[in-house]
Amino acid sequence: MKKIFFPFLSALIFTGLVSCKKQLDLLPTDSIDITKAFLTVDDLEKGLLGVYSANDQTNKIYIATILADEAKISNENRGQGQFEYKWQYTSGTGGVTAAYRQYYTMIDRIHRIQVAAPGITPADPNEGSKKARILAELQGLKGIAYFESLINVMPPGYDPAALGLAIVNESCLTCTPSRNSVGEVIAEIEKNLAAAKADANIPSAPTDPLRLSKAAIAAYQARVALLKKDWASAVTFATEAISLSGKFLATGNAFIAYWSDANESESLLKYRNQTTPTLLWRDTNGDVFFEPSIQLKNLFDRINDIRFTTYFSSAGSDTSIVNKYKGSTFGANINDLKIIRLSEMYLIRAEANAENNQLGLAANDINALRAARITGYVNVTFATKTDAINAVMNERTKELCFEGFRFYDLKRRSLPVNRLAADVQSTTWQNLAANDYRFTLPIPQDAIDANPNTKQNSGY
Amino acid sequence: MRKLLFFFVIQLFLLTGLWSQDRTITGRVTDSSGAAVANASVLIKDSKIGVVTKADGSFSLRVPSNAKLIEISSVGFETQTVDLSESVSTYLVTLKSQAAVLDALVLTGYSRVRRSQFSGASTKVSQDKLNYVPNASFDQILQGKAPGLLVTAGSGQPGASARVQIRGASSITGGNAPLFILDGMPIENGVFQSLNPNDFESVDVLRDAVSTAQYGNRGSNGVIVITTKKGRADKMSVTYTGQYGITQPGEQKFDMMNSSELLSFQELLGKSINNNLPGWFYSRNNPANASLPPATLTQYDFKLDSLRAINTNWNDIFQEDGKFQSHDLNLSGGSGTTRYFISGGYYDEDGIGLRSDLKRYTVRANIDSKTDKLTLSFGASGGYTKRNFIESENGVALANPFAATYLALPYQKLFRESDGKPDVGAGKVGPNAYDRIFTTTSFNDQVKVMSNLSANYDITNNFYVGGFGGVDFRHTVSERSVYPNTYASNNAGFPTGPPSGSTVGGGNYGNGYTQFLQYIVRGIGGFKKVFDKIHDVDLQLITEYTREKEQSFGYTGYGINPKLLNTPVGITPGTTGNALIPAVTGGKTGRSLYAGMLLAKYTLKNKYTLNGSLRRDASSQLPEDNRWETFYAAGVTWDVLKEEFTENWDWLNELRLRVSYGKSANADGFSFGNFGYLASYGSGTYAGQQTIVPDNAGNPNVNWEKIYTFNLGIDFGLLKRRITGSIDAYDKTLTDGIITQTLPAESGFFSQPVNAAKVQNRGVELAVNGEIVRTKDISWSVGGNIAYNDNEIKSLGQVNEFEQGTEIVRVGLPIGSHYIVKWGGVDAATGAPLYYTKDGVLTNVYSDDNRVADFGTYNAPWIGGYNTTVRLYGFTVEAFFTFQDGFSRFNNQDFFQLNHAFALQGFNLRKEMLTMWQKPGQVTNIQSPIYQRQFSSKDIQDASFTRFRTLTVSYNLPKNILNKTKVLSAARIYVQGQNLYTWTNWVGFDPEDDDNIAQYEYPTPRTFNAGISVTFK
Repeated sequence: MKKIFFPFLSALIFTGLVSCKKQLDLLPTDSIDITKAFLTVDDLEKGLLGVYSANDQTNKIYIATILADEAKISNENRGQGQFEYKWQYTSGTGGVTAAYRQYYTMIDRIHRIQVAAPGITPADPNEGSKKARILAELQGLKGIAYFESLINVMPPGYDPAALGLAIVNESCLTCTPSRNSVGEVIAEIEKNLAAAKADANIPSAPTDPLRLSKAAIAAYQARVALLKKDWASAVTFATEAISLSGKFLATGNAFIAYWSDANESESLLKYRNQTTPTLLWRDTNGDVFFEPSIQLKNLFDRINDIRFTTYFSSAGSDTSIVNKYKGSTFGANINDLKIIRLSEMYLIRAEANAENNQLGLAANDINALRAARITGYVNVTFATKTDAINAVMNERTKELCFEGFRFYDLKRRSLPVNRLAADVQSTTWQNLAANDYRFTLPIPQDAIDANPNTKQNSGY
Repeated sequence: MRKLLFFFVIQLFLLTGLWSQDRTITGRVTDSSGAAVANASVLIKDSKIGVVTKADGSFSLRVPSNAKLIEISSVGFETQTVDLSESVSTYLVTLKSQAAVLDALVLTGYSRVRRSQFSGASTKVSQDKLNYVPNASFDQILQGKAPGLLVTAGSGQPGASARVQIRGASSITGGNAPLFILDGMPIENGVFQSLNPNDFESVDVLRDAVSTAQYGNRGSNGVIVITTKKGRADKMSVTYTGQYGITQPGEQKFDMMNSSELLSFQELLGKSINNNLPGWFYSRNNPANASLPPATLTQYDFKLDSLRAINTNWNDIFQEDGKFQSHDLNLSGGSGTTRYFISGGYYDEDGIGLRSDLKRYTVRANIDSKTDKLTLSFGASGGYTKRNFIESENGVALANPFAATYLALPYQKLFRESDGKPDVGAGKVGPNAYDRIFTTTSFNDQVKVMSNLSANYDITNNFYVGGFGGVDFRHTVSERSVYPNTYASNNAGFPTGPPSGSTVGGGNYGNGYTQFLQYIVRGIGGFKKVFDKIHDVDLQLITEYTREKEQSFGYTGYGINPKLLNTPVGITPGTTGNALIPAVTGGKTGRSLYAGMLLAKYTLKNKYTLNGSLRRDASSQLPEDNRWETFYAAGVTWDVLKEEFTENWDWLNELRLRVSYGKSANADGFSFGNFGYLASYGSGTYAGQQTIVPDNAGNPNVNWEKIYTFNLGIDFGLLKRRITGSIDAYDKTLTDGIITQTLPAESGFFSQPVNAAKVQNRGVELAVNGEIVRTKDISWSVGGNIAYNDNEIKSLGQVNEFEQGTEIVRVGLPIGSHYIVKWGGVDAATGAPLYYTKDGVLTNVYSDDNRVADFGTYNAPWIGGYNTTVRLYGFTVEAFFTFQDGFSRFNNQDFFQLNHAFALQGFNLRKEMLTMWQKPGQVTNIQSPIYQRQFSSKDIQDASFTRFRTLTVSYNLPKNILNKTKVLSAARIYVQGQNLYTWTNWVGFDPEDDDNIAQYEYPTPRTFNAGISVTFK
């Protein structure tokens, strides 16, 4: 008996070990193996949609509003966004730092698809052009991602020598690159946008406003030019965007319906949202955290300007609710986020023309926009460059409020934030000087900790 | 009855024995669970003739004709004397466990070990401490019952499981729960509501490396071994136990404002912050009212008067006294080679929150069979549990009735006068939450089935092989409804269907299931022999394979037909047109574990025992290169009283020294789940289409977290074992602890798991039991346990600290350390809140930069329990207390209830708010409302507590009465109370919780019940 006992046991354990080796090699069912993620052109397209999904504008819209003078803290605010609003943010404050990781995630997604794409052979010419378009879009999106991140961490105005962002060229988990200069990043952005726009597979008009068109790319080029104060290019690109888009400024009911996503009359590029309520300034229970500032509301002709009644709604005696994201057929407060609207191109061109002292051209665009929005509007002419620029900036504030512009516009033009005394409970957070370090948003502390080569912006 | 029988037998013996000759008797010795007692001594009384029982408990003894009694004894059991009868040659003897802290057998799950030959640290909790406690989750029953075992319940919802931790937390990001074993089968942690604790014979709490050696890859946080009741080889006995009782809310240590107080507080608030609350709006002191005509002002006064007259007691509305009942029927018996235990149980408990309850139905069958060579053991149980939940349980939400109770306004009425329905509407917290209770459902149906079979075959006297197979299966269906056209659905964020923007809520219905399956197969080969009567060798070679599978599926549909509630049939099919697209969720995951091990025991002269284990383990949850790891444990115990030099130490009856050391791990606690080590892509959606995005950074180098435990222990028994106890000291150090390392932003990922931390737990544990009075009819015993654990993070690799919400993980501090700005009181001159800077300077500026970690941890370093039992003839009074000391927790309820901002939003506050700062010079702890109320150390409270956990008064009917009934062999009636009182400085519902912060958790109820237990002949 003893003789067979140990051989028996050894056999038992040996078979156990061998069979268990296989049993231990379990593979997940609910995630995709990295080697199998991109095998077809359809996979590349799914990857591309993943890149688009990273370009969520929610946080930008929030920051541009509450850091500037568009909003006022409501009585029902229990602390929401107050660090940001009162400019008490640090490198640990989520709101002002979120974009940093968001756009590197987007860039990493682009790199991974770009690496996989050459190994995929299209089945037919159709797939070939589909693949070419995807690659061109990826390039354009890379430029957009750098731009959306750069505007946060670069200093106010435009100084090409200032610290920008680290330019990364490959997917790497533990690489620790240093920040490039603003000029280098802008060059990278321009290079990618130009290359994407030049690709024949990208459609001219934004027939599908969720994906890049030549019009949308031109619009981004216009934004970049405006940031660089390259007025001539800004005019060129804005004009190109307007004409390629084939769109016209919306009026009346079409304009109102536009804000419930019933039409695409002014969309050059959008971020699709049909599920999540955009409740940046409110709580789910209806509490108002931030209301439109008195300063902003005072800019409007309350009776004749269709924007006043479209953008704001009331709870009680005064218009205290931001109504730009009032909802769609998908539910209350569920709206697409508009990334580029046609009217912004008119405003860019007007601003650039004004800066170039083309006051008549500037007035043309302002008049066109106002005529579309204001009942019984009478055209204006500008006597001086200053008048023209002031008019453009006021119009930008009114037209694009709560869409992610105001703080960046002030910063771009090296202007201070001056809130109305009636809009703030304390003078401590009434004014932010134009040269204040807080215009240059911090790099998130965790990114500094994880990458010792990343230099923090001064002041944080 | 039995005694009568014995007398009868003796009579017979006396009559017939005169003629008898030498003969051989055989028999078997078992413990009360029916398990064999090996090495028990069977001795003819007053002689030197005797034998020792074999491994299966059997014995064979030649007895002379004049022998009348045999005496059977074994360590840990009461010695028993059995009368011999000429006509009987087979004796089945059941030994009773000694009533002491230290029981002789340690059940480690795979095998039983005699405590005198065991070098591990463990504590047995016997059935009298486990059975018939009105708590549906057995883990909560264990609180305070074993040294070093921390049990904290997070919810009073019937059936909620607790946080269980043995000897402190080790893993920073991973799980720290012990492994639970039931009859040799690992069971799912934290899901106990479908198990019937009344079926449990004992629970062994294993704490060190040697005692958990059989679970090396999963046992590093300790193991809790449950053994269910087994049948007795006797004629069938039937026992019924029934209980009835009530559950009720415990004491509340704070007072909310009544209507009149709240209205005057609103007026007070209005003087600083203009508001529309009635107390200020209708106030004559409100400057806005100065110019109003007198008639209007009088009208305002009336309004205020009528509001003051309403004093709705929301406590009474949302909390109720619940009913409790349980019924258990046990059948136990056996004949020949087979024994069985069959039980059925019904348990029904109402929660103290309206709507919440639990109903459980359980069955169990345990069958044991033994022939000469083969032992078979089969156990199966099934449990079906139905639970109703409150809304937003343990959530900071207005729908949570335990939040609504305190936030609701006392001057609001519950019902509308017009139609008698709840007066729902914007800002009506109380009625809204109340209405929800009846217009929503939250329900959970659970089936749990467990089964195991073990076989053992003796090849020779020394060699044996065995096998074990077991399965643990759980299926939970949860159901959720929000009825259409109700306030709850009108204010929900889900699709309402056409017309778009409609205010009429379409309601929803959701249904989800999760299924858990775990099976295990084990092969055992063993060798057991005593060489030269002094070398006792016991070897086991074991291989084990475990597979676990989990899957879930759920859907939520919208647009509910009001005539078809609580069923999927009521859902409107979704189209792009009506936008009522149902939401679907679900997933699948699994893992496997393999272990090969050698377990060894060597005892020399019955005095010195060496326990050792060496094992090789693998888990599918780690990268292939790091999958396999070697674990080991070794321990020595010395039974001092077996030494000759102790012969005269009469006062000492038991003394053993134990030392052990070993390495183990916890495969159940990986923070990254089953596949987190792999870099992977996931599927998302954007614009209604699928996307492919990288979703996990993974780490191909991640490895086991290893825990090294050193234990030193003493077991002692003094003064004829009137005082028994044990002392253990330990050092449990985790190395390669997994933390979440932040990755550079440029990588596109936020973090990955890395092995970097070192965490040490050191502590002492004492358990002692004393029998002060010990006579036949009267006894009084006092016992208890206390443990101290010192937890310290020794290293975090490349960093020295990182934050986790309001906690900081910092080298030199314990896990769970609070991290917040220190509160400095209220400036009497300005009413401004004051805080301390990092350097201890008072400031009126609140800044996150001033956060400090001076407020301790939420893991109690001191824990324990004590009990006293008085037995007086048939009566027994037992009192049991538990305590946890030296820890603090955030009280988020303070932040809500002592915060003027919440009054402005239309909520009620605590009475203390009336002392709010008003004028310079006023000394108060409530700041002026012109300053924002911040979360600071003001909201941290000492949560130490001592709880009068159980009081039981019972009466056992005496034999003479039982005999008269002719049908009963035992009967016990009792009353008991649970959670009778809590001594604490904590101001809130309950200092006990499973996390670091109190936020309107379902409070632990107090229960009273009466029960009866009868055993039929």
